[in-house]
Amino acid sequence: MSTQALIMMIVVIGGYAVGAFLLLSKVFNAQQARGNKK
Amino acid sequence: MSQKKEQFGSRWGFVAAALGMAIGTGNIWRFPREAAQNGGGPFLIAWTVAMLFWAVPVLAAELVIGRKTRLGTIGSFRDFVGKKYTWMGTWVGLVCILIMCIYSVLTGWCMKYTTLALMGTFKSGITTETTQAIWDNFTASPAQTLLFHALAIGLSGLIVIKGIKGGIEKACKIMIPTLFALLIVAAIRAITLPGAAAGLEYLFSPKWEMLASSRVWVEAFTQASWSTGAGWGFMITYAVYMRAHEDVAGNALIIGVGDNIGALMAGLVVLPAIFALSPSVEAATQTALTGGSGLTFVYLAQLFGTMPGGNIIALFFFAAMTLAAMSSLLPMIEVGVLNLMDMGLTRKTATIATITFGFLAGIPAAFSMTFFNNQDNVTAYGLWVSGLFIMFAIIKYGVEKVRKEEINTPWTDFDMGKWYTYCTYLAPVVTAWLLFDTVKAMLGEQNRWQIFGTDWSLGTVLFQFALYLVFGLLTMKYFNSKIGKGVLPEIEEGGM
Repeated sequence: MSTQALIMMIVVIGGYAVGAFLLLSKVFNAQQARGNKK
Repeated sequence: MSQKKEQFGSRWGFVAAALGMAIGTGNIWRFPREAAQNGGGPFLIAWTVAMLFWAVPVLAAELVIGRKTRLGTIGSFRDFVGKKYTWMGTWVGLVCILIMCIYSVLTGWCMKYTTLALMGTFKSGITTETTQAIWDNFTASPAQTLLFHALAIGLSGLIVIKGIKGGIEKACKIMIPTLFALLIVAAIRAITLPGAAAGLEYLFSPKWEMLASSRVWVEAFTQASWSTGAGWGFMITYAVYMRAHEDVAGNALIIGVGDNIGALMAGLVVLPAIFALSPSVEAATQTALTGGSGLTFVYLAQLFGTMPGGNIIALFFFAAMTLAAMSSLLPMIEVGVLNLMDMGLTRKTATIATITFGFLAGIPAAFSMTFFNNQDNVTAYGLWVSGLFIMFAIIKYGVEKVRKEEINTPWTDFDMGKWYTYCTYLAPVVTAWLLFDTVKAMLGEQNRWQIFGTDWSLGTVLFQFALYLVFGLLTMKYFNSKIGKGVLPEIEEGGM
């Protein structure tokens, strides 16, 4: 596997994994904050 | 006339159902081929851009329309855009129902192959000739295709008849995590096969010069459209059952990102498996470019047989296909059910009527691959027109009004910036561009004006579009008076 393809794979899979993590953690934190306010 | 609407029990329940709608067979058998054929890395970039700046705004638009009107596709256009535009909602609903008819047949194929894997069919030594013969015999046997078509729509109907919380939400909360788990197991097995790296190279190798190719962008937007289900009307339907204080932007983002992750995982199963198990790189490339039912039911079925424990992986793979297909079939049925319920029918009667129609109208597709492909193509283009209508609805209502009053609410986790407005104005232009590109390709065909007995021609598309339009216009007055007012759900509570 070429280095370029390997970098691309890491960027794409890593990008989606980090993106999904940030998205879900923001949703959970906001949800929790709202729950605490109640 | 309208009954009080149910609602999803939790945000996670809604997201699971929406992801179930979005992740379908297209993620599994279309995405890997398109990614590989269009330059790997550049396609993945274009496809991510298409998801973020086209699919997410369109999904958000649908969520707003459904949540605001609390009516199915027909009634929502009447109340959101105006009584003169109800025919657009009828078009959107009709295309969804017609897709349901063929999608049930396709779900039946996946179920058949899951049972074949259960019986240990894909064992060592199986050849492409054998898997081709299995596929040909199956599709040439109306008794079998009809049986599995009936099973698919019948089982899905049983879920839909139980309602939103007790049926669709409950089923998707099991189906979606199971689907992801099956894909993860299959991907790990595929990637660890000797020679799998060539498949990864094929998928991710960046041919940067292709980023400037308009073809790559057309295919990326087409994939984003057919994969996320943006602009189809399914989200309008599910949003009707969404809690009033639900985050539109966050949900649209989760659906878009989740769908792309599902497609990537499918790519990590399909391409490494093909390259590891094919006799040569040329043979693997040829197989990868096949795509569609041929790739899945003939080539992959045979390739699974060449690896140790292949039948187990085949079982996991076809079970994942079945879950992906069935969780997409549920909203298709619900589109019909909700529109009928808006006209005063009970859920039970509406579900029985919808699945009976779906079964009967799906019979020709179960008998003939030409008919199946014809409907597959015509309804796919019909969906783009549906997307244009949905964006027209949002623009007519006022994009800024939607952004400020319906999306950026006090209870939202994500605010949409001005970019949402620009993207919303651009979305119909992009959709029109995709339609224009397809028409251009069709005009280059010999049989461009053929109406019957063809799977892909401008004549058959225009003829069927004219029928949809006439149906929409003729029924407009009736639907305007028959459909009741949207009623908000009673219960409102927080929590995932």
